[in-house]
Amino acid sequence: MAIWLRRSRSLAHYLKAEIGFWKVPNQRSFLNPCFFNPEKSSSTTLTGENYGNPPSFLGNSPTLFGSRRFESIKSGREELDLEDENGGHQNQAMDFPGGRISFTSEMKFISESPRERIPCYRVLDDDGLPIMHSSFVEVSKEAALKMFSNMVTLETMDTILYEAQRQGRISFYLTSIGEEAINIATAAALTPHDVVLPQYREPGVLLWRGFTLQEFSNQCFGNKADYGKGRQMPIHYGSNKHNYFTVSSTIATQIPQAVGAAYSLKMDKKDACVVTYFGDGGTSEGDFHAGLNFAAVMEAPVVYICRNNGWAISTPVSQQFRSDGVVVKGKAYGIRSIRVDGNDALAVYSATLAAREMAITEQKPILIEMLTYRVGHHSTSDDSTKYRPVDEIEHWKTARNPISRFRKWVDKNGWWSDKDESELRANVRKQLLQAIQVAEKAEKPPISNLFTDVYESLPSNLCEQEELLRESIKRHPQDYPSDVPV
Amino acid sequence: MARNLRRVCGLSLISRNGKRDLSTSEGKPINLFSAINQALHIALDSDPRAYVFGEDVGFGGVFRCTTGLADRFGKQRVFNTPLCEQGIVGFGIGLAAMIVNEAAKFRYRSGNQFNCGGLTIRAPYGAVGHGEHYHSQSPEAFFCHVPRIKLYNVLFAYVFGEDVGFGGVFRCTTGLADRFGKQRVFNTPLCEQGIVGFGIGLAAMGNRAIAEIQFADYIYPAFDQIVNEAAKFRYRSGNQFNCGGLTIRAPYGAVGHGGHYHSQSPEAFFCHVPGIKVVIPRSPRQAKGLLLSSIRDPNPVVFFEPKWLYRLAVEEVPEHDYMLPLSEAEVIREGSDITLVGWGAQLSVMEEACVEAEKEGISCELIDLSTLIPWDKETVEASVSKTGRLLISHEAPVTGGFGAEISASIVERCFLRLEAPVARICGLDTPFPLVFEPFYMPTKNKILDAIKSTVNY
Repeated sequence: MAIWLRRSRSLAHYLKAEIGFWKVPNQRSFLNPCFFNPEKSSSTTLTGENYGNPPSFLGNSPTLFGSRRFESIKSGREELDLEDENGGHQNQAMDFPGGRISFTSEMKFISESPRERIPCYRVLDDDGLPIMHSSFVEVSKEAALKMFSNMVTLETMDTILYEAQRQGRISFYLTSIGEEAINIATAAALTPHDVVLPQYREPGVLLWRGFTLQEFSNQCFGNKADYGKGRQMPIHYGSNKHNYFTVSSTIATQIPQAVGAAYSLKMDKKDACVVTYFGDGGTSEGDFHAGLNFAAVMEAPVVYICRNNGWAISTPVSQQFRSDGVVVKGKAYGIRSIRVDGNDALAVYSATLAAREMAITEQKPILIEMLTYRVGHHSTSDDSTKYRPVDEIEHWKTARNPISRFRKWVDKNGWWSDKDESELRANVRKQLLQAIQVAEKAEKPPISNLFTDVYESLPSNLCEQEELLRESIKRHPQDYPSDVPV
Repeated sequence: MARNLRRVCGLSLISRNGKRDLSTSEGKPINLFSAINQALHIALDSDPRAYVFGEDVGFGGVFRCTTGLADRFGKQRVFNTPLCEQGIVGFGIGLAAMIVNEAAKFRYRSGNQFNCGGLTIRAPYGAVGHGEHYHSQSPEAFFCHVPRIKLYNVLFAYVFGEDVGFGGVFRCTTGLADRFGKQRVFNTPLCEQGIVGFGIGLAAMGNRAIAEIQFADYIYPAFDQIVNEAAKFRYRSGNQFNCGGLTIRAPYGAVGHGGHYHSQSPEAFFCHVPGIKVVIPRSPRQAKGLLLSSIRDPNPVVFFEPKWLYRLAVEEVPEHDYMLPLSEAEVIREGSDITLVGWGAQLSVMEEACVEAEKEGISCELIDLSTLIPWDKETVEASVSKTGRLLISHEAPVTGGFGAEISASIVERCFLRLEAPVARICGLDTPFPLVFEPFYMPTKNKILDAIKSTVNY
């Protein structure tokens, strides 16, 4: 036991240093009795941290079930004859649900703010040059170009569809300008089997997965080809064939839902995880707390990606929370977390890849805080110059632009040229304008779609209401839009 | 604060003869958000202890109602909050309670020692032309009023909630964890919004998620997930996704000593939500069959179980797997003079009233609605067409209770046949009291009196 502890303590020290990621194979069976059953192979250090099995850094076997869920109420540990690092008295400790807690005679409050903020992982500097000794996953030319062109496509799509709203052709739009690296690079790190529960500023994930410009346009125009059948506002995309849950306007509601979905994957032993996105504002919602806590307790394979873009409509992060951002909240729930430069496509890619691997192998949630900036307005219903300085926006739009930064790296590898760039942009623009034309001209879904899918089958009250509505339409056709077929 | 505001408005409207004159000749035509903005300016001006807060109110708010307030009154009185509605209201309750000396019950439950009457919650509501699901709802209606389950037939079914592991506070889940394992029957953290959100995700992946909320009184934190997510999951996705496998069970109703927070009947809130079903069994035999139907129904169901009956009601229940149909009301007692409609535990009270009425020569037809939405209008209509009289009874407060929907629908359909107004014998419009419970409840005699006066109308 003593020997093992020495190893585990060196593990504790090791973990404090900056490392990439490590795997913990865990062969314990899932159905463990939870009470009064000291597990020889588990551990609780004197500081109360629970590291499970001694880790092997060579293991490749996928872990199916963690079982520490049932260790939360353990009592009775052997007395340990070592001094712990907090200067507590090793023989004076309390057995308490959750683990052993040592006493201290020093009354010390944990500071509300750290001496230093949690550092932010990045790979490329602001000029697109790889930082020396940075650890990241190599990306092939093909993959890099796919990422880059998707980022450009996303930016172009956003610009044009935003304009379409301004011209009154669609009723609403919101852009992801400034967040293209998060959108595309996270998507690139996932497989098509990973289930995505978006907030609403992640259409790039759908784009990466193959949703076409036509499909995007159809939803924005709410025409009969829209998979959502014209029921929701623009940008509320969803696609079951792309494993992308339909967007809802409510903030953070997807966070606990992600746990349920992940639990299903876990039970079915799928080699996949759930990835869910939310902004800095979303972390204030009760559902954030609910979801992360559940994820940790259920040991659900969820990757939580927070797009901390500095603003929730007009509310800057200083009015949103007083913690060191979002990354520190993970620890409060017992969730492994990392802070990443969200405008560095390579860092985003590497971190997401690692997080996904950990989530699936170890069957536990991971939290990634991506630091970025919302260059655009919150939506077409917002004018952000009312509450933030124009030069701040400009700075992030130009000097800190994720696309140009990645472009510099791609250029340096000799993989891209100005000619390629202008061709790509022209092509996307042409395709999109064409798609918008087609979408605009297309019929809306027929009126029966107002009533279907409320329930799996039409109940009598809806049959009745549909009849009454049809009568009203016959009598007063001028009250109703003519582009909706009856 | 509210009192001060009223005083200011009243002054400007009282004309020379002292009477309230609402048709003031002063004033310019302005739009709604400007009018609200003016009111808020006045409120802050006239009361130094007034505060305005919420998401994005600092710069004027997304609808401009709070424009200029922060500049004029300062950021300590007009301020943004984090993105968290439960936090905003909770904070507001605390603030209001401190200024005068869980808003609706605050005064009542403290015996008027405390109140948060100074709290006003503003929220834009209603259709706006392009807002669809999440920017168009009209919520003012909300704010106005087993048994053993067999899991082995259903491959991917899960039961979860607070304390379900050891059997649950009402023993409904006894033995399940032992038999089916802790992966399928498990405790959750103490968090209703988490329980329902988790259940939605699980159901969306094709599983049967049977969530338990420990008391219906505590279901409200999950209201957003139920109304905005579960109820709309299929519709908003164009039927690409659904969470039909979700069933939320919760004990509801009076128990004799439950007080405010262990006695509520919140079914009316949920009956106003298209996309979910609300089912309430009246007895053990009904509960088993209806619950199995609810679990297997391809729509999310909120299943309220009358806690009064958990131990009290004993009935012969078939041991095999059986289902009872949803959205089919049942005539449990035939009669010809008056139709009575109810659900859950209240039916046994109504039945007693029917028996007594029989002794006085009044023949009562008693209907168990069983599914509240979508509800079986046809059966009730047929019955009232026969009897010409209707009485509805439920424990929930009468105003805005589900009885109102039944009454309105039946009057629409049976107006000419009705011999008397539709009677509603329900709970009072108060929080559910402890010592006064026997006075609050719709008792057998209250029902009997109403039967007689309806018949003698």
